[in-house]
Amino acid sequence: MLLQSVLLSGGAAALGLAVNALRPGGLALVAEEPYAIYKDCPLLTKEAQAVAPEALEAELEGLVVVDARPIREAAAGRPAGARSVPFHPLNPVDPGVVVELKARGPGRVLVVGDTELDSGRLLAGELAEAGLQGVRYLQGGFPAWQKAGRPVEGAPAPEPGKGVTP
Amino acid sequence: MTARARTWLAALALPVRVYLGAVFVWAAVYKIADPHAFGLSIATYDILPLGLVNLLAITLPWVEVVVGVTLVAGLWTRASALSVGGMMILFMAALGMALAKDLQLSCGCFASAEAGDEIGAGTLLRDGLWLAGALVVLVLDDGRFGMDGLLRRRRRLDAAGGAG
Repeated sequence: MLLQSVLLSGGAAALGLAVNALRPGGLALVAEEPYAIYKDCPLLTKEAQAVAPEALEAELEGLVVVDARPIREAAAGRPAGARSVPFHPLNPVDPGVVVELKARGPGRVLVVGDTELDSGRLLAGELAEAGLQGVRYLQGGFPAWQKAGRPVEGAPAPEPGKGVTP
Repeated sequence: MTARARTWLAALALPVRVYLGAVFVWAAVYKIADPHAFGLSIATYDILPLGLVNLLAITLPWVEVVVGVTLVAGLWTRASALSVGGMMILFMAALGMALAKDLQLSCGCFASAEAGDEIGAGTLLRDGLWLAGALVVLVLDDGRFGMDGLLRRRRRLDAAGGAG
């Protein structure tokens, strides 16, 4: 049985080598240059619309508030009912999250980030780049949210990948 | 174990065998159609030296397709199941190393190379189930419902004819 297994695998490998030698555009047996295994960081070419805290509608019902800050910061206090989607400059947003947010309809997403890293503007731009229409970000980020007297909750933020909270 | 019990066990393993064979043939199709893309998948695991990447990209899909066909046909059934099991162990080791390094990559198993196909514990579990399937075939299925069974019957008839 072991011999048969070796014969099967060896014969199939020889077949693969023969087909590769005969087919047009077959691979070189040894790669001549390294494969490009790293993807470029996403370049943001779209800017989302900024919204000042005083211009934000009083009633946020039906709006999805997305917290772009790191999970640890969001856990210490975040906009009430916010969905935690931490911005990372190297890792694109989970496509599943984009699909969920798109399903809420145009203009229904408000991103709240931090002032230091400008994560709200960057995440909103990335979401706009991914096709989310009418996505906005809050100028001044979470501190501005607090200053405007908007509701804050301090319970741990929902894990990424869970359902969208209205 | 009685001959009837062996037949029942082989019948139980038959769908597993056909399913595994079909999975391997299906998995090989895109790799054979686009060996460069498969080479890129292998390179992304960052395990093999560059000098071996293309060799594996060229040969592995054909091993998969041949072993898949022989599994479905029930030819050299146990040897095919052994090959599948060996490949699954290698795939799981590669996945485990990539997961340990926290690499974000597509598993390179099937045609979809989108982010949804990204490796994770689920990929490892799926491969574990296929490894278990290969073991089931290896232990229970002697190919009596396939080419192996036909060839054995033919040899017996030939032997009986020669003796008569």
